[in-house]
Amino acid sequence: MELLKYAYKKYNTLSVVGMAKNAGKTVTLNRLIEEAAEAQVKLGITSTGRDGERLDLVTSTEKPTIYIHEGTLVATAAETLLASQVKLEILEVTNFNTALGQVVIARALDSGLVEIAGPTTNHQIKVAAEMMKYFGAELILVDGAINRKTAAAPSITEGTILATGAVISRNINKAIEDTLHQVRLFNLPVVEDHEMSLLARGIIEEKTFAVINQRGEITYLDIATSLNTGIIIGDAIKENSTYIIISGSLTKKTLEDIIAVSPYYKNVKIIIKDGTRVFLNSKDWGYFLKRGISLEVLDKINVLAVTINPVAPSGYSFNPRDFKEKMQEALRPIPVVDVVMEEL
Amino acid sequence: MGMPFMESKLSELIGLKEVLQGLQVLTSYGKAVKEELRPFLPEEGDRITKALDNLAFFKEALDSRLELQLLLKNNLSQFKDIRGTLKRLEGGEALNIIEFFEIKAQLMEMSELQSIIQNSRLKQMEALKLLSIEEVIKLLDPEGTGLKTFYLYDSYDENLKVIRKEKKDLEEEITKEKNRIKEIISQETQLKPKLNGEIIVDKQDKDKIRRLMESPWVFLSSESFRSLVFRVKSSSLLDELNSKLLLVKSIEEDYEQEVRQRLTQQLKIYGEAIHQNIKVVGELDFLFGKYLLNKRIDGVRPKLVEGPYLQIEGGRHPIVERTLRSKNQDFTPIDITLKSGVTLITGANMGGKTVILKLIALTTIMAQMGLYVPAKRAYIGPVSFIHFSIGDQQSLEAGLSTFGAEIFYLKNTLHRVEEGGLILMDELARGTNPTEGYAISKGIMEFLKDKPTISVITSHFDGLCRVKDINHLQVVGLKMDLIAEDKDKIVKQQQAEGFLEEYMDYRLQPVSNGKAVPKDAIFVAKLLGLKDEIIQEAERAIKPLGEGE
Repeated sequence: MELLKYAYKKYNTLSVVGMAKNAGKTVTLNRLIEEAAEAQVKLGITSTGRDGERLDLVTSTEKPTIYIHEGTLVATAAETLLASQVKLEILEVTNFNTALGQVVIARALDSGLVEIAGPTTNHQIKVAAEMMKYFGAELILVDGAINRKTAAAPSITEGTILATGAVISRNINKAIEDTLHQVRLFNLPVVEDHEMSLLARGIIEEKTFAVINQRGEITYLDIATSLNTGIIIGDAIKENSTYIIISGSLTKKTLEDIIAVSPYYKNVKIIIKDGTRVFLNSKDWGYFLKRGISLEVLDKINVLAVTINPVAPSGYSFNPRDFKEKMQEALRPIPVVDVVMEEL
Repeated sequence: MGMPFMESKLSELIGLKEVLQGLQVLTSYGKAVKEELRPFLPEEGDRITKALDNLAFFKEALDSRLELQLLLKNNLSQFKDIRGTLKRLEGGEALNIIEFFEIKAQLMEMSELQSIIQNSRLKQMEALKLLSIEEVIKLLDPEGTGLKTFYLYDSYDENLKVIRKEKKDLEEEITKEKNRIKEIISQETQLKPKLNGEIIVDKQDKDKIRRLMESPWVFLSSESFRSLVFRVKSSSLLDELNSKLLLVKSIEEDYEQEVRQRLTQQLKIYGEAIHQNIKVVGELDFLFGKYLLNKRIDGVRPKLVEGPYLQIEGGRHPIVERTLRSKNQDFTPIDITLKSGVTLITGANMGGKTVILKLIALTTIMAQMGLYVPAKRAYIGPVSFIHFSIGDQQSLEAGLSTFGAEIFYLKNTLHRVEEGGLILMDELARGTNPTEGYAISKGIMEFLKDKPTISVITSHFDGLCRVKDINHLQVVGLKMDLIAEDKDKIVKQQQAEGFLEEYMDYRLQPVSNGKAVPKDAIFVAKLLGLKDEIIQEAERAIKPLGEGE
């Protein structure tokens, strides 16, 4: 239980997200499944689907094909189950619709490959996870995503494993720096003020933007396009403003515009949903920190471990020992596990 | 027939649409029943009676056992729409296991519902008789587990059972053999294969590579810039087992296909019964929705009488009432009796005349739909159509003037007056000059007064009170004593919307023949705080005209 031990008996739900394609997410997922099979841990598996996409897009996008063992529970779209060779017991048909049919909760009666295409909203994933728990799953694995536009944030699970690898950059130091940057974003400080947190959550759920001042007065902002977001926000920051609440993603352009337009930006804290909403590279992030930008999140993402793949599919690779040691050095105390080269 | 009972936009105008939005169903089967809801015509009186009888019985059963409400709600909210699956069943093509699950789950929900009904007074209701489906459930739960879950059970087919056992045994043997090989590799090379059967080594690690190269149990499967990937070889036993497994799996698949086909054919026989029960579920759901709606609007069963006739005691308009309640005000219940011929309603500005017309239309339609009505008591003689004109709204859409639209609409109704309908006209002919407006109104009233249709007209025109043989009602109007008392308070409140409501008596009272329309528009304007100089000028202008007769 090299990898599973970080979650098993500590958390109910665990997501796996990859820094990039081929960073080793599916390897990590399969590794967790194998470990669970060996230790006879009953898993429930689902994935974050994509909302509102046309069928052809959904079918052509990469869905993890996973080898599941007898007794494993899955929450996946009806069509993926019907296409699978695995013998199944149907436990429940939810009313969560996806382009591949309704999400079905099923138990594997033998072993084999199945594609997983789970529900499309955070709430539905939570409900699907609860159903699988009800039917006996000890740990829920969610195949997550960082860069998808929809709600697929790892913040909905209690723990997250981040998969990274040589694919990030030919430069080993850059690959490590980028991973460290991602982990830092996942660990952004959480809004401490409970009332502010509730207020901000409401505003973010309504997908609006707002500025809040010392007296707790809220000014909602009319953001029509993402092109001028920063300018509108910058203009709205007054001398007595304390928080800015931003729904959706935070980009370089937005922060640049805020700094350019507002003389008071250093007095305010920017609140976003979670670390997956930040789209800044580590260099830009460092720059904005120096300029006095301060950022807080509603949901912290609990990184339990980072898995590495020292081999990039384009042909180059890092010295596995080197890569692991340096990565471990940078990320301490978060454990680093090589899922490709390391012996069990 | 052909002619509609009412104009479709009437529903929104009188608040019926909003009332019906409050009639909520829990299943798509109930929704289908709700979509069929319409006012029944006088000749369908027995259908109204039946709907009312059912609701009355249902109400009694639920009122007398409160937990029944909870049981029904929990049960009904589980029903998913499986009509698509049933259609596939009728097609006869083998269903898949998700579809079998859907049918099984629904049958079990029906069975639960059946026992809820059997354990309550609802069992006496003919409309809620569910057909027995225990036999069908047995088909889908052959081992009698009582679970809603579904798979292709071993007990469906002896062959299936045998082949599955064979498959299990083979899988176990394969695992055993794999572990045996891995064990040998571990001992020979001191390297443990990963769970997927791979051993990856660094190219620098000459010693490990040598050991692996020497082992007869692994082979070099791929190579990258820095590493070598070895894989565990298969043994001839393993090969044999695997090819057997493949065969066994394909046989299992064939047996399963046969079982699904057979099961589909067996289920198909019960398709009609399941459809029947779905109808009952829909009826029950809809009835439950009507019951809950009535709880909210606090209604009463209307008594059906020979029409056209309407007698409403303590009538309320539930939507207006809700708005008032949110402002902490009460709706003044209205008493009104209407027979064929003309009823004229006059009275103070802002005296609620329009609301009364809406209340009459709403109460009539709800009763003819078989719903309870928001009143203390109601006698309804069903009508065959409803005409409702309120001037403004309609003309805007049609591109006609207020007057034009009103006349055009009325013209189309007048040829139906012999059918026994309900005509409601708010401020008849208000869109034209008072002299001619009065004249046309009088003409219309004279025409309608001896027809077998109920006509209700609100108006400010003086002379209409003198039309013979009509029923004249007047809004009681401003509470002058209270106004005198609160004089100072009123001056302060003038800005607040709705302050006048407190000083208005909305009830209706009969008026003896010929009494004039009250003149209080200027007074009301004054109460509302219109500029003094305008009020004074208005008072001067009206003096030479004198009061009444």
